[in-house]
Amino acid sequence: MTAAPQAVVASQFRDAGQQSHAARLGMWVFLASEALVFAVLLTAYASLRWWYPADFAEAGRHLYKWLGVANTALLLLSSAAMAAATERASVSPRTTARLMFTAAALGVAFLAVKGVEYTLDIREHLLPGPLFEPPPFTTPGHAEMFFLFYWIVTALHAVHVAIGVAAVITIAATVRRGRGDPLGLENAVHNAGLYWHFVDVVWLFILPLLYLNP
Amino acid sequence: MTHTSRHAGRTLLAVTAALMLLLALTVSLSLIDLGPAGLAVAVVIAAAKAGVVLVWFMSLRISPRTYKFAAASGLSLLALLLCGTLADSSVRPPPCVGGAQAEAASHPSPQRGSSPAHPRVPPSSGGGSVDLRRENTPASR
Repeated sequence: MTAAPQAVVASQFRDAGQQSHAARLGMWVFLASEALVFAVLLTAYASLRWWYPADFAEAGRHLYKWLGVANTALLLLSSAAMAAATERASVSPRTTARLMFTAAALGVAFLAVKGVEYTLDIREHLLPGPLFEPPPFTTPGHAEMFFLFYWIVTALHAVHVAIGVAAVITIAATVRRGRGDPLGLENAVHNAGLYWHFVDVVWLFILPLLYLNP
Repeated sequence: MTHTSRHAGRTLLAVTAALMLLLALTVSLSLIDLGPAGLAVAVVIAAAKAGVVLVWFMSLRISPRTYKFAAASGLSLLALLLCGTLADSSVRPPPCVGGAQAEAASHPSPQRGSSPAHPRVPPSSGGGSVDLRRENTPASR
């Protein structure tokens, strides 16, 4: 019979508590800097929307609002699954792994919906470039700028979701195998959760800024 | 299942339900034309949802002060960036965007940028290109 893997505290830490604290604080600092990456884009967007409110609102009406709403619901549900996974991390690794796989599956569903939306946008010539056709009732240059922001912000967000899916699946698979350092794994589950919720928070702001136009 | 985990499960369900209700609220409000206030209301609801995610899902309510400080520093810098930039751009004429000139001249729209107080620089030769140069008028200083 093999013994259960023991928690190994890295040599630079006093105890397991200090190591966990350092891991999570590091993640919070990273997320604060990530927030500023999106903040720069959204601030530029806010300035342009301030200058051209009618054109930006009109261009936004040509996005698939209900796909955006469906994606918000998917991300909120995946965040809930991830929160449940971290809640159970120290109690039941099997449940944690299952919940993490659920969160990742919802993330994949988000990306699939986004892919469908991008395909429809390209077919309607809403990708800025030589084939771009401004939607009716918009000033061409302004509409193109709106769609430039739409593509950059949502694509950057989708890259974050894709990285999150890969990280969550990798960690969940390790948790399910039950091998490796339990302390390191528990920290990884918590940090993956924090990252996942952050990506959700970014989308919560993308929804009203780009999609929700009456 | 222990009493504690049942309690945690119930809390998680309640938080998720609250988030879904806020989503339903913001989507319903977006079907009504509230004018310029509509965007502000939608952003406030988004901030409320983000707050719920930060406090409950990301466990900020039971986190040490150092995590709260890291989160607050990110949000403060974000607020500083947003307020500083908007304070500046709200008193400036909009940048000229190629291709917009003819349209704006032929049918004036309710854009802030199309007011005669902020005449535009003629667009550069490349149609659709963005020209961020500013005109040298007293209004732009």
